[in-house]
Amino acid sequence: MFHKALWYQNYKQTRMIIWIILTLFIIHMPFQSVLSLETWKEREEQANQAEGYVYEVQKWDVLQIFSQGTLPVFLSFSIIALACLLIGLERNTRRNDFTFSLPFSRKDLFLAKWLYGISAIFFFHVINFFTAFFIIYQSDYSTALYLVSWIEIFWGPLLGFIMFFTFALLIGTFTGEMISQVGLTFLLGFLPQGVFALIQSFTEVHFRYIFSLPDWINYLTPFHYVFNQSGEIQSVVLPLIFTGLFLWLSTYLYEKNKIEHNGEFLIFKVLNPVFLTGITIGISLAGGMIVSALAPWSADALRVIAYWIGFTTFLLFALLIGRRIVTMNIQFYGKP
Amino acid sequence: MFFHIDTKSNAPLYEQIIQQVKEMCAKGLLIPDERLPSVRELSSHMVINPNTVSKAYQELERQGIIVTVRGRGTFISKETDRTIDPGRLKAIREFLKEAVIENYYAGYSKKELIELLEEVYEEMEGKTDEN
Amino acid sequence: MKISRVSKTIHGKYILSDINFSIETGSIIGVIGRNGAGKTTLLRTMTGILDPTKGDVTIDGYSIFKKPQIKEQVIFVPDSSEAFKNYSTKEILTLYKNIYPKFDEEYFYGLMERFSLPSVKKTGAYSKGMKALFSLIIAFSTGARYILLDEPTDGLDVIVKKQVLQILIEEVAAKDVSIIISSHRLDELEFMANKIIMIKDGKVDSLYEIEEMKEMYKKVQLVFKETMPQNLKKEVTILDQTGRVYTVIMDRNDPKIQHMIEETEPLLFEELPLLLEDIFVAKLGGVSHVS
Repeated sequence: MFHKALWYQNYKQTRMIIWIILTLFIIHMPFQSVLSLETWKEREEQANQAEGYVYEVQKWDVLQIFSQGTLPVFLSFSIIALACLLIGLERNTRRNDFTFSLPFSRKDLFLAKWLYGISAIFFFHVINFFTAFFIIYQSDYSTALYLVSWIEIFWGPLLGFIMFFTFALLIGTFTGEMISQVGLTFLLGFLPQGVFALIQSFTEVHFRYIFSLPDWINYLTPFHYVFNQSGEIQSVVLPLIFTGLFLWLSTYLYEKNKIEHNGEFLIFKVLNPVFLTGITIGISLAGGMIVSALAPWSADALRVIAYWIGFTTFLLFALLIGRRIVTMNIQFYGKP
Repeated sequence: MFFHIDTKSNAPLYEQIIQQVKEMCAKGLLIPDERLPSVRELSSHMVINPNTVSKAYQELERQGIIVTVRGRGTFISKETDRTIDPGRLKAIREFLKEAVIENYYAGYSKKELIELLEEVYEEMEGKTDEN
Repeated sequence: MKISRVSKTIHGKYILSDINFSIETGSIIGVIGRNGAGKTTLLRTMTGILDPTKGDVTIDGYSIFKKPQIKEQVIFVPDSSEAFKNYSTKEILTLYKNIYPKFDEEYFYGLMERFSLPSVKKTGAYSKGMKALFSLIIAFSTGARYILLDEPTDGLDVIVKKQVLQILIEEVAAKDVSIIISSHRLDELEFMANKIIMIKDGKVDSLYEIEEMKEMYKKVQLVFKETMPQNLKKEVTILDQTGRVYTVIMDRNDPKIQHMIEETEPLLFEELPLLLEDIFVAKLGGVSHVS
């Protein structure tokens, strides 16, 4: 996994997205901290002009710089793109033939990809974090840093990104090409919360019963760790556990890869029925949820009817497209 | 060099090469001590398998037509060095037999065939003298 | 290099079944078979790109699947080299030098100069012929003993094709390497290869020295007084028939067939030069679809 050639190849393959990720990290932390300091100063001056107001930096303001806001969303998308360029794109082009013909084990090939992505995320995060931290620390607002914990601003996001990258790579080890890797990363990244929302809408329409969202559902949702930093110890321990689990599973799957299925939706054909069933039920339930929402909220019977109309229509769609998806084959030999 | 592949011939390629070397020697196009192309050069030039060329060279060397000097290359041997192989005489005899039969069916006489043979000899020797 | 009992199913269909053969260094081996016979699949399995469903590929006794380092001895050159379009010549060199410890840089530059290939910023800028030459030069410089080429001359013009074939022959003549070429260009392999692996329906139909193979068969032209007798038709492969004139492939060493033909008192019974293509047709059947 420390073969120089593989690092070189991975870098050549992902150069663009690596620079995008670095830029996003710089905007996210150091640049945003400079801007925030200016904003806070301005707000304080305004507050001083008005009689009886005192401005204080809020916890939310600090979290915005380190772990929340829109930039982590873009960062998570870029991390998916990185994972897709490392695995999915190889499958769409013939580059996979080259890598698999090399005198390296598949385990080494995979771990080189993982380690490469992890190192990039780790170094970019650490460097930018400490730059931003120092900028605030030496300013007049250094006390603001006491409002947040290290888990919330440092460990949570770092381990969240690392876990999420590992997750996106894992998806790449059993999907046959780039588009399905992107699609399934989003789908499975939200799966527990998504399934919960679908069940909730079902029981709500039929029985007027609403479950409350249990915490463990959130903890099982990969995207949760990227967008939401609660500062609990779980947001350190669970990403570590998931990272380990995903890494083990993905290495195993990559070693077992049958790349003659490259270009198809899934590499492992045994997963096809599972995927087809899941996607059909999911789309149908979503159909019910969407159409029932169009009916007036108070008309019980109408909502149930609307639900099943939506359910049936979407079920038909799902059946039609499902087969096509699993039998497709996307491979291009031209310019990637 | 003037080697060529005759796709219309039934003879295996290495035999064709042997034949062509012999022919060039007889015509005086190749003279004793002249260097032959290496296996690598000739196979690449003719776009044929190197093993075919080495097989031909080995056979030529066995017949004493060429000699290989280690590190220097392959050369046409001096005529005196050529070994006399009774097997070859037998082959020539077979060859002549065929020629006699052909000659008979073509409607020529024995005398005419002998004259023809003389002519061929003169032709070959004439070429040798020119060199 | 030994291929033992290799089978491969894709989508539940046997592409290769129970393939056995071994190759030594110092030879040019042609892998021929009709389109879809499994030539490329065989080459891809021999380099570990595909896992065999059953069987193993070993080099010096080591399985390439269990000990991938041994693959430093094998290099696969696919029929199109799209993988490194965005790499410069230097970058590819860096990559390969780091993969193959025995990479010979001097030899590489020597060949580049000989075939007047320029160094470029993007190898995608090379013409088709240059790309083919370049991938061969890279492959020959890696120091691998087994070089697997998938349709190396496909789509090349005559001059480049000759260059490609010449560098290939020199490589075998100069070093102790084996070149395995899959091709449907039988005329090219005719004099270049010394061994032929014929694949039919995923099975190795034969692995022979070409000369050995040519001694097994005989191509003859026959003219009968009437048509060819039915019982004779079963014994020979008819390549071509125009009226009473037949071109057939027959077993050279079976006096029975010879005798049968003589009995019919043909008007013409003449041997023709036997080409690889004729054996191909006789072995794998079907006059058409050869290329």
